[in-house]
Amino acid sequence: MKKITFILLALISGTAFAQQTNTAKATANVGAEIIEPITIDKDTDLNFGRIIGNTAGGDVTVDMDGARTTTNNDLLDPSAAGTSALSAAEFTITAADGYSYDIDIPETVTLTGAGDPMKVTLNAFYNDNALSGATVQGSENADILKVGGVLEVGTNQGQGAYTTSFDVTVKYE
Amino acid sequence: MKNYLFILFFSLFGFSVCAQNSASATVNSRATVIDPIKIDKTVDLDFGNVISAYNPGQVILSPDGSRVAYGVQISNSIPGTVNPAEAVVTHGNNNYTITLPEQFTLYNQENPNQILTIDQFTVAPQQGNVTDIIKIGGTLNLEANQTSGFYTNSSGFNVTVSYN
Repeated sequence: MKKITFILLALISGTAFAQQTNTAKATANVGAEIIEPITIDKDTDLNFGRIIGNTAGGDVTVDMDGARTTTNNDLLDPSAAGTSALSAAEFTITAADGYSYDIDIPETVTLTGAGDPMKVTLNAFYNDNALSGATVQGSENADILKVGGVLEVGTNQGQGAYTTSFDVTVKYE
Repeated sequence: MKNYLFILFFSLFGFSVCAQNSASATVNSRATVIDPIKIDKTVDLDFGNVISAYNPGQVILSPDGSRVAYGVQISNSIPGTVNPAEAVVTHGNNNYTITLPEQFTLYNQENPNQILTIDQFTVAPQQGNVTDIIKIGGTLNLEANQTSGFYTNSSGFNVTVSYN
């Protein structure tokens, strides 16, 4: 009887001892970097100003600084040359430093109004340089996108206001 | 004479009964000693760079190191340092259980009021005879407009292993 008891005791204590070394633990650290979403805000619209219709027609170009040139001087209303209505579109983009992003701008838009529609070919400028390719990179400073264009005025273009709207989309790569 | 015989007989009889009062058998005894289970962390968990959005979202980091984003965005140009956690478990070819937390919270280093929670930890072991390499991923949950910054926790999360 004594013998059996001893063995049983040994088994019980042995098991209890094993359970104390039966578990082990490690600790892992964790990190995550959160980046703000990209933003774009329109500051200024694209405005070709006042144009004189009833002529042979031609192209009117607004460059990134809002300066206007034409293939047909008869199109330009001199009194409109210095008005604030004349402007290239301007956008402010904020993107995280070093992050590449795409800018999506339509190639052409169409102005509609009282007379025939007029086509505009858009020209984009990124931080005052012509935008070549759609992918650019964010920096610590805001990026300025300017959009000018070439307006095709028809012959005897009807009098009135012509408008349209277009979207510029930015997206992280 | 009678008495004498009786006593003798009785004694003889008594002796044989006593002899049958003990028996013995041989029992083998064996004990297998195994080393205690061990776990050593080798790599910390890192979700890399995540671009927050105007809506809530998640990034799921798998034990194989790949990330999938829902509602938020991960940058291909600057993914950041992405690592599933990694630990070496010394198990001596015994079965064991891995225990992970249900949830873990990270705090924005710049502002501890802004938090990120991680849940749905997942683990994939790379099995060996004596040791396994276990890799651990999880789901990072972002709120709408999650404030930018580096989020971490001054303590880490626990990974517990125990023999079955």
